[in-house]
Amino acid sequence: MSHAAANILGAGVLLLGVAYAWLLTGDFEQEAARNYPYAVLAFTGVVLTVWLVRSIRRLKAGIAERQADDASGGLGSIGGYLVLGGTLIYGALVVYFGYVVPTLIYLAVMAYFLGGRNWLTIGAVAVLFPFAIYGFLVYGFDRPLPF
Amino acid sequence: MFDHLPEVLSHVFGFYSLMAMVLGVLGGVAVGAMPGVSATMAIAMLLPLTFTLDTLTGLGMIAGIYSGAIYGGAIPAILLRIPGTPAAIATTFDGYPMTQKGQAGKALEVSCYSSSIGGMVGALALILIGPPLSRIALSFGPPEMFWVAFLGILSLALLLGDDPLKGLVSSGIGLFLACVGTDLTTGQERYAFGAIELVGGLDIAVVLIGMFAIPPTLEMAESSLRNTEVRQLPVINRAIGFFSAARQFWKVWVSGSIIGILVGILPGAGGNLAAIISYNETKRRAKDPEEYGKGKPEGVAAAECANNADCGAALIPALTLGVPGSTVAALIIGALMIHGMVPGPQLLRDQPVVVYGLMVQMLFTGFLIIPLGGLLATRVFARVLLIPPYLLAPLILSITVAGVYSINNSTFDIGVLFAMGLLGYFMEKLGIPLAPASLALILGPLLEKNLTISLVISRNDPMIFFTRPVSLAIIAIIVLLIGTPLIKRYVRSRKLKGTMEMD
Repeated sequence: MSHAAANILGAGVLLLGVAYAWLLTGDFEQEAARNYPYAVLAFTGVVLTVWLVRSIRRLKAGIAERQADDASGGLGSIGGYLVLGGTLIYGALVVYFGYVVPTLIYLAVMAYFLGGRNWLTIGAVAVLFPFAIYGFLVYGFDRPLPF
Repeated sequence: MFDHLPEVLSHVFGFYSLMAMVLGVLGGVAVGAMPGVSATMAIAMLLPLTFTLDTLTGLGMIAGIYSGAIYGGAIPAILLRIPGTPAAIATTFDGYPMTQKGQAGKALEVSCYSSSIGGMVGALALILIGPPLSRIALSFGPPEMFWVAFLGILSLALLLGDDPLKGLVSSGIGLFLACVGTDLTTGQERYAFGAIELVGGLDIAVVLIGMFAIPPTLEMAESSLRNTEVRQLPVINRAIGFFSAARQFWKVWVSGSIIGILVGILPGAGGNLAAIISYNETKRRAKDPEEYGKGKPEGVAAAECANNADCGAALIPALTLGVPGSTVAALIIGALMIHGMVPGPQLLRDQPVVVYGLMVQMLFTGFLIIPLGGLLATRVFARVLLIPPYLLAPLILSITVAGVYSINNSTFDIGVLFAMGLLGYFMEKLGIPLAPASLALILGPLLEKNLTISLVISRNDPMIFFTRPVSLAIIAIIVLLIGTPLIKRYVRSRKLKGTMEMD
């Protein structure tokens, strides 16, 4: 996907978000509580619309958006999305199953996916690291962390 | 400051605070030395550890991480030509050629001394400029504070990055996120979706950690998919003592420190800009400018001195006006808020020991870089470069998750962390800078509160914002801020048009 197309998609999604937030703001019971959020949403909506229009014009004219050097295209690579997806699943697992076991699995799977093949290193780190962090936070800093 | 000096010093140099600063510098150098881990990310990752500590002990650790991480970024820049932090980009220009010439040890030592001197001078500027500025700001009323907040948001949106429109989009997102929670004047819940955790608003620390730790870590993981080469470290030899370095580089340190301070005060400018300006200025004034880029130690000294001087100076607007000029300053404001403090001009008046304490800690952690980040330690820190890239990103993410959970003992925060991480990830992919959103998130409540109070005072007459002298001065700055790039663009397009017509 080209950068201009990615920008159109991004601006479009954000504009939909602004529209949804506008509807939610209308439901506020207190009128005085609506004014400032409306002003913020109006500002954001205007800026997003200008960005959307500019990106459409650039796409039509074939002008590339100036963007950070990213060889994988406007919205990243499939590999990047797999990393993202794995990380989100890890977040969900931590919420339901605690810290140590999901972290152990996440470290091993992600290290393998990212190209690690030294199983001794991966295994040692995946097993020792979650316990080390758990001990460090819970016993060293007296912070809560679900096992 | 002198009234509070004994109390400040007793707190700052107490055992726990001292240990926190030492550990902070060591941790900062180690994390900053990891390629791809910026100072912001280092602080975001380690910030939760400071929340259980006493306020000044926690701030001491943050000051140590900040100073250490900026210096740590020079280690991979010199040894591998990979800037550990964006602020170390200019360090690669001469640092890596010195390594190629077998002078890695000398480059690291020059970098260490220059970072320390820059850090201490920047902190001195904070100590000298901060309190008078804070006293002036105390005379500001709600309309002036509204304009200060507005200027802070606008300046970062327009000055950061090369696309002001995307900076404004980022500010809009941050301002909206700041609306989540209870409206202070009416008690109305806004965008809380019935979640009790959102009634008090989004936890700023969690949002900032999500935005500044998750996207770069995911980016690091993506890049390790593309590049799996094993790194080799060069030999590091001892080469130069502090006093001979001081004799050789004192002029560079003076100019680098001044540039670092001036750039640091500007919102959104950052250590990388300070380092590049200082490098260019040193090269411009040199008798042998053609030698720069081929392994000139003065180039390393100029860059490292300026990027560390920027650290202390960047805190000046944050601690005096409550307007963070950089993402690290935003995180420090977030840390202060977690400790129950309200950022703004009143902070120094209400919490002098804490604010002066942080200033002294910045000074002392700048000094600590020499004994803790010196050559022997640098050899140890350089070993972090040998951590395989496939392990680094997952390790950082799992530390971040543990840290965020431990802030409030809340699984909801992990959801917020990943939601903000996802938002930040796509914002970065679309080239939308994250810093304006973080600043708008912090300044949003200040903007709204002062807007509301001003309108109540004036009985809804908006002229209150345009009739006071300080307000008018700030408006003039805003007009300049918006007008200058527009005029420059107009002049450039006229020139381009003229050139095309001539062709």
